[in-house]
Amino acid sequence: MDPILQKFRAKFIEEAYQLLDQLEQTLLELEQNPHQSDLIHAAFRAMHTLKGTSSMYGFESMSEFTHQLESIYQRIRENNLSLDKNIIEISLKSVDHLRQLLNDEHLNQPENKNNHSALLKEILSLEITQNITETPKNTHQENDLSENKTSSEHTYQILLRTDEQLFFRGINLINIFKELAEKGDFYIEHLKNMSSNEVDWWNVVYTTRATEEEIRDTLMFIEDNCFVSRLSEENLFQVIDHPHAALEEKTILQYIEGNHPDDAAPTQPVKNNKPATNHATRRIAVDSDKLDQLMYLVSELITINSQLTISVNEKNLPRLEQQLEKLDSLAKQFRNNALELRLVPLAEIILRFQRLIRDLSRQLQKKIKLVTHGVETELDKSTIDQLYEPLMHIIRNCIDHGIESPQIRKQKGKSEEGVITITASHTGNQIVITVEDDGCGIDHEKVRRKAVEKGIWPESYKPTEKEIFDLIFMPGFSTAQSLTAVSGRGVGMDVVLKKIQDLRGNIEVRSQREKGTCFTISLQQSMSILDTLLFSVENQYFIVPITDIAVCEQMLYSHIEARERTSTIAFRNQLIPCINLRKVLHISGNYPTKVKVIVINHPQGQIALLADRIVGEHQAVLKPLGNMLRNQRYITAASEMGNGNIAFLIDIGELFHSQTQTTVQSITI
Amino acid sequence: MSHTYLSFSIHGELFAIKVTNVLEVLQKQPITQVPNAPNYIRGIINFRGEVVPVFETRVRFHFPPRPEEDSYVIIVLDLSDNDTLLRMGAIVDRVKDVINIEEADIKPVPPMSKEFNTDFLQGIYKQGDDFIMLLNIEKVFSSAEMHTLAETANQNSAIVAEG
Repeated sequence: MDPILQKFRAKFIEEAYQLLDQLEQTLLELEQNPHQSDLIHAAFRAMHTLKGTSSMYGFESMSEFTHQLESIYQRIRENNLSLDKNIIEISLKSVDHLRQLLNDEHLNQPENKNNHSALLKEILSLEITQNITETPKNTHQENDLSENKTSSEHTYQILLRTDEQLFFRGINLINIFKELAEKGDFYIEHLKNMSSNEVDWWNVVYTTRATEEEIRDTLMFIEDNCFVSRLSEENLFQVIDHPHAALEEKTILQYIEGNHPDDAAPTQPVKNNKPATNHATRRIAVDSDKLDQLMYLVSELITINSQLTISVNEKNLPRLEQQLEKLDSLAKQFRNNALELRLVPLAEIILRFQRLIRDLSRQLQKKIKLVTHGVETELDKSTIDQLYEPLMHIIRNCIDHGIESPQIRKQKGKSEEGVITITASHTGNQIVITVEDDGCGIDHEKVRRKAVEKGIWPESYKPTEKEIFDLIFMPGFSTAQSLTAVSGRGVGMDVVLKKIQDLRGNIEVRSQREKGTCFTISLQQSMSILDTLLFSVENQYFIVPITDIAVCEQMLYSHIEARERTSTIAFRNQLIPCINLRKVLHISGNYPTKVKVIVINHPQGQIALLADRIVGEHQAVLKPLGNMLRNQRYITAASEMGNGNIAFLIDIGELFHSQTQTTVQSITI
Repeated sequence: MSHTYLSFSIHGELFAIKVTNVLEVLQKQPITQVPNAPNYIRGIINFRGEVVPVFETRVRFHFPPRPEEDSYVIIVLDLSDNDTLLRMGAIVDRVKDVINIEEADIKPVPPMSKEFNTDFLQGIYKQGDDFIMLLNIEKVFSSAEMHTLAETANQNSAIVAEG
């Protein structure tokens, strides 16, 4: 195949994944509302586009397969076939299979080959079995109707030439064919005799009720590459289609039975070898490498801007200040815009879970409904991609261990259908995602016994609720009574914790016996660029997110020293924990007599940090500290300031956690 | 088969690493200290927009500490550690030479003092009157080794802090 077509193919594969995602979503909705005709049309259109374009790019087996599937939906559309659970089931399996075909178009993998023939057989049998049951009266009426419709349908021929030029002009043929598919049916054939290395010719037969002018409008961008002519005043497909389709069915059946007599294996569920996270998320049609490159440039710009601000302030150059302010505000806007480009609604991944929940609940014979709130909340694309796996683990756990079987639920007086609720919201710089089930909750006693068995706790130990919940995230700890294929391999929750920590987030679990379990994940909204407050202790610079700061004050160090034993500070009529950064970070020297106190809001309460000097606002481009320094407890990232210095981002959560705990301990000692 | 090596000196001893690992040699420059970092990490620097940790090889090789005023250079290296690419700076006294070494000319490592971990060495090469120790940098800077080192370092510092 020539390189031009190769480039188109890459584009096609990308779009085909998106089409399949859409189709899957439509099918899942159809499962809930099998009679909603616009959904049936949408499913049909997606298949139709897929069929046409796949054959165009040489995915013959895919095109053939989609054709069979499409004809089922064609009949459903014409009310010649009623959409039942079985059809949806087969369609969903087909979607999985089609995804595989995108990687393996020639069916080289035996597994795919078996699936292919087995699924085709199932699809064909659908038509045959339901053919008998269909009511003749209904068909009759429908035929009348469709005849009325066809009267205004015409058939056109479009001769299309594709070449390098077309590609370099950035023409997206798939969109054009999508548009054509919305208004009619088409059939594409590659004219091999006319094609050469540089140019490919295609014969497109198109039936539609649209006028020739409308067709030309659709083809506007590729006007010079195609010749449109009217073949007939009627729908030629309608006239030929049925005998034609019957013929095709026959040849395919022959193909299956003749060539692969031993392949009668039942359809196996198609394994998704490729995790769905690899697919480009729907709303971003830009190569994500380009986006990363943009982000890199933005971060360099911000860094230079911050350096410039620091130098100008140091050198006291009032004449430059005005321009600098403008530059600063422009850079900020640019940054926010660039960051926004990377924002993707959480719904992008949540929708994928619908399928998971559906399949798993069937497998385990449970009834489970997914309810979502606030999934339009937007997150950075890379965060979303990294969230997929932990969220999937949590949901699997909810399905497998949380929600009980319908019988047991009934006995307990719950409704047979379990509910998994995913809620997302954001407050300030924090994004909070909760996954909640109304299942059996965590059995404290079971966890405790397991911990005793494993030698983690002595028999007599009475753990607190928090200790029990913490144990769930320990590597190799699983309370599943028997190992199932779904979860409970003993890996999972510790991986979830690690993934969330990698995102600089937190995860907490709450659970009530027989009421359910709730996982709460909190994340920083932006991962890479942050508005921060820059301050120093001795010669070291630190930053904290500016949105987290309650107030900055100056105090006499002698006042603070008096409370040193308890490590607290009096702030607005109450005592809050006070962190001596010199002590915690082992920095030499002493605090000045007038010490700066930075009070920070934290979900668990306020906390004060002691600093020598407050430098000011700093737009920080955060850089990871890398593998070698990953054992760092209180600092999570670094940011360049000007003059070669590097400031460290303080992890308030960790500081709060460990320091307040150790303080409590030191008091008891 | 021959490879090109960069030779450098640390406390009078000559070492060499393959140039394919070397990105750049930097002059002495301010290094930002990292609070609570293990003692063999001198700090971090900004290298081409990236935060790169800088190692004090003298600590790693149990040589006497470097006097503050002494000059040094930082060799920025890329190495693979458990399939991940690791970028780091190594502080050495000075860079000597770029040499081509035939594989056949590399001699095995002789028994050495227990102070020096011979796993760090890939072999010995004799150049004139000098013996150059060819470093196995993956071993010297592997994160697993580092972490055990970090733990002992932290324990030591904890003991020091308590004492």
